[in-house]
Amino acid sequence: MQYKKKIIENLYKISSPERYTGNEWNSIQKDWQPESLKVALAFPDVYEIGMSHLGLKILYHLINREENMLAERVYAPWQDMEDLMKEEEIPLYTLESYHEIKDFDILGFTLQYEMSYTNILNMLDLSGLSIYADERAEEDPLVIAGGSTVFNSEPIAEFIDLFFVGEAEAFIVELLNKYKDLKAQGLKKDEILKKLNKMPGVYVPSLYSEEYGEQGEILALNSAPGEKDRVKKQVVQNLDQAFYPTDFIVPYRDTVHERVVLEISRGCTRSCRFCAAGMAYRPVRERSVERLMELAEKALKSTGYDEISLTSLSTVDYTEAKKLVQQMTERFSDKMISVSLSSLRVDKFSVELAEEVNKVRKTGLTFAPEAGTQRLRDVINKNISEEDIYSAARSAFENGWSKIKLYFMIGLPTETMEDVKGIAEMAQKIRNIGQEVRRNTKKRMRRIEVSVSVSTFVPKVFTPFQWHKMDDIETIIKKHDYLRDNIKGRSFSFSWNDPELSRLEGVLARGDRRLSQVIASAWEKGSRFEGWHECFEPRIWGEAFRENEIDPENYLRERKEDEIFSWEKLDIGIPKSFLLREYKNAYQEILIDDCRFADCHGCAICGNFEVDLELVGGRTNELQD
Amino acid sequence: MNYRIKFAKLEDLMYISHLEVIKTLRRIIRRAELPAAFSQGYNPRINLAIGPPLAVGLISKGEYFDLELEEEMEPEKILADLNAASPEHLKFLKAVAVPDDIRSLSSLVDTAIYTINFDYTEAKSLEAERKMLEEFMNQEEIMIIRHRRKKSDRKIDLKKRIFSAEITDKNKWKFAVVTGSRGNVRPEELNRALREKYPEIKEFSPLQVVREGVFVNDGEKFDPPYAEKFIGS
Repeated sequence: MQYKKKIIENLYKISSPERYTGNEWNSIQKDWQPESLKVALAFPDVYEIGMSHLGLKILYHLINREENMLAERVYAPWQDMEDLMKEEEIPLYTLESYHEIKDFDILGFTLQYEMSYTNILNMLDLSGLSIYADERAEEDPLVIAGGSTVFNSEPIAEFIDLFFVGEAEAFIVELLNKYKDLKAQGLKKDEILKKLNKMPGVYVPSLYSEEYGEQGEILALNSAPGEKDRVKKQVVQNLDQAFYPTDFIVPYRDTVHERVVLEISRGCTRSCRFCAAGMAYRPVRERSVERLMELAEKALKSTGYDEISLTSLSTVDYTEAKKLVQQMTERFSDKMISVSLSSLRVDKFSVELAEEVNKVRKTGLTFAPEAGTQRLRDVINKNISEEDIYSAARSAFENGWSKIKLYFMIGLPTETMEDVKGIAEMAQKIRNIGQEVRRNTKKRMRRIEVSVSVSTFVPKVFTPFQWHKMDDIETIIKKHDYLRDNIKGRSFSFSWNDPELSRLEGVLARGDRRLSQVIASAWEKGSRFEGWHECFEPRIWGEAFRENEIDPENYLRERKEDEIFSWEKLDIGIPKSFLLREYKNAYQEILIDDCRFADCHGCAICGNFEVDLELVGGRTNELQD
Repeated sequence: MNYRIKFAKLEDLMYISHLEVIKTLRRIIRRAELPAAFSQGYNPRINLAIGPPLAVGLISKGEYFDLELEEEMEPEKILADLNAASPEHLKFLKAVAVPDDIRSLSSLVDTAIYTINFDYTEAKSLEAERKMLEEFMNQEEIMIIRHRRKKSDRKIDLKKRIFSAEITDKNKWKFAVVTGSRGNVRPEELNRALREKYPEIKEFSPLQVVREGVFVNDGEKFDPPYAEKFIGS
């Protein structure tokens, strides 16, 4: 069913109605042929967040290129829209055709952060579907999911029919075609799922189970007879040849990133020990400068945007970063198009690169030292020195930046109050450098502002710190209090995360299948949009844990070396022994360097995926020569 | 070279706000690759000046903006290029070359004309509707409470803000009301004021309203902002 008229007639009653109307430039409205496979791509957060997500853009255009398929978009409705939909009996619908979700063959969710899980349940419910996979009817859409938190998808395993593990653009079309064939053969859903589970990267959770011991520990991970033991993630072999869209949808509403987004590389081998993306997205692959220039040209023409953003896990590590940035600014500056960079490292090469793109407008520069002392930065293998940080800051101030944003974490392994003190000291020292530069310069410079953002470290799966105990509430609060008292004054601002929210994220991030019940309870009690500070209610979650007799502490504790982890049903291509060795290296403050520019450390990823480490600029980084 | 360009914003885009329309116009101009002039300064933008805002949730058949181009272009070509780069429900209808010193849209435009399609709980004859309108307009004042976002409610007199009103066809009421810097009237308020007097009028729906366009009131008639007398010769 389509509900367009009813929707349009009622939207004036709610805030931001343009979240729910679609019809943007470059959105694709394909004919609803009976034989075509219909896919609803869902992002479990509001429109303006979801519209900025690159992965979904890639899949949307990739699927719509196929003649016998169509893909449409759906986002989580905000509370006022949910109320309106319930009152007017409007089911969840897609922005292209206004068809309700039940009209689709497949409903695919992208998983980006743990705090959006209740939104997934809410979207299923608003679609008129049961939240539990085993309660959904034969004719209901197949509910699939993938994305960055798929690496620990167990907490939502009871809601999802099929997960795709890894980079979906490598494989999604093949998967959808296979599904279409099996469906056409008249097979039942459970038979189809069994057949799909034979495909690489496909994880059908109903074919797997967990066995628990008396203490709640996991005794065994079981797979149904004849099913593979572990699901290996899938990757794109060659980024240059991989599909990349240029006809990006241009939203009307302000969204997080209103610009052409170009992914210059994927993967990172800096080996920061806390970083989930750094492990999960290996191996490193780069796009060529030629290809990126061609993509930029096409995308600018197609969208009318006036900004290009170069994204990757670490922009300066792109082996031809300088060449790329120079070519971009040269080609596009007369059209008043600016280039922006994300994920800069803390060193003066980054400042040089930023200087290259920011000749005119200097807003703010963000650095992430992550930890306040050299000792702790060595523990996490951040590989930057005190000297790097202060010279980067000085160089930024000297080049005219007056605002610097610093990211740190608290709760990292081995952290003491000395390390927390180090955060405040570093912020003060950077402020002092800024003020000194400002006093001595002849140029006009704004007042120095240093903003310090501190997040609570959440141990993530498939990282060397997956064994680590998360800080308890009192400890987190004590550290926050210290920092608040010591980072104050006109030139500072200090921000932190809600400790309860971080702890909940911690539970879900290393959770197992038993948490499905807890998430369902929290959703039933009205919890939504936990990632939005104003929407998070710890009380509801407390009740949800108690009612299901689940102790959250059990998920936050230090893990035993030989413990079986719920997420080990999946294989990201890096052996547990490597992660454990790295965990031990952390305690001994042993640094390892980036294998792109030094020796191999044996993470085994290249061998596991039969790839050579191919870098467009060769195995040296021009900036760092 | 300056151009005054008329456009329509139709149903699919009715919930796009004024600021979003401006942003969208700039992107359309870029996609159309028109030789637009840019503003000076740190953050150069396409020089574009739009007329009085259209409320979120309304369809309009006659909005305007002024655009400066670095080179002269045939108005027909401008329209064709813009329409090719624009969503279907944002349509460019007219482009007129105007002198540099033309009065700005915001200082010129003072009138908005709305057609409202009324639904009644029982059918009404055209005669009856005409009589309703006459009675409505013959009131000494038409007071209504205006709800303002993030501000307290305020009482306003619609009578002073309505230039003219007529019934053009069955169920079709046409109002010319003040807009721009001298105040404005929302179609929802006209509907509310009428419902207070005639409860048989059904509740407001934005799909029943069309802004026919914005105009310049010369006391006798309503001129479009590209009329000869504003352009000079």
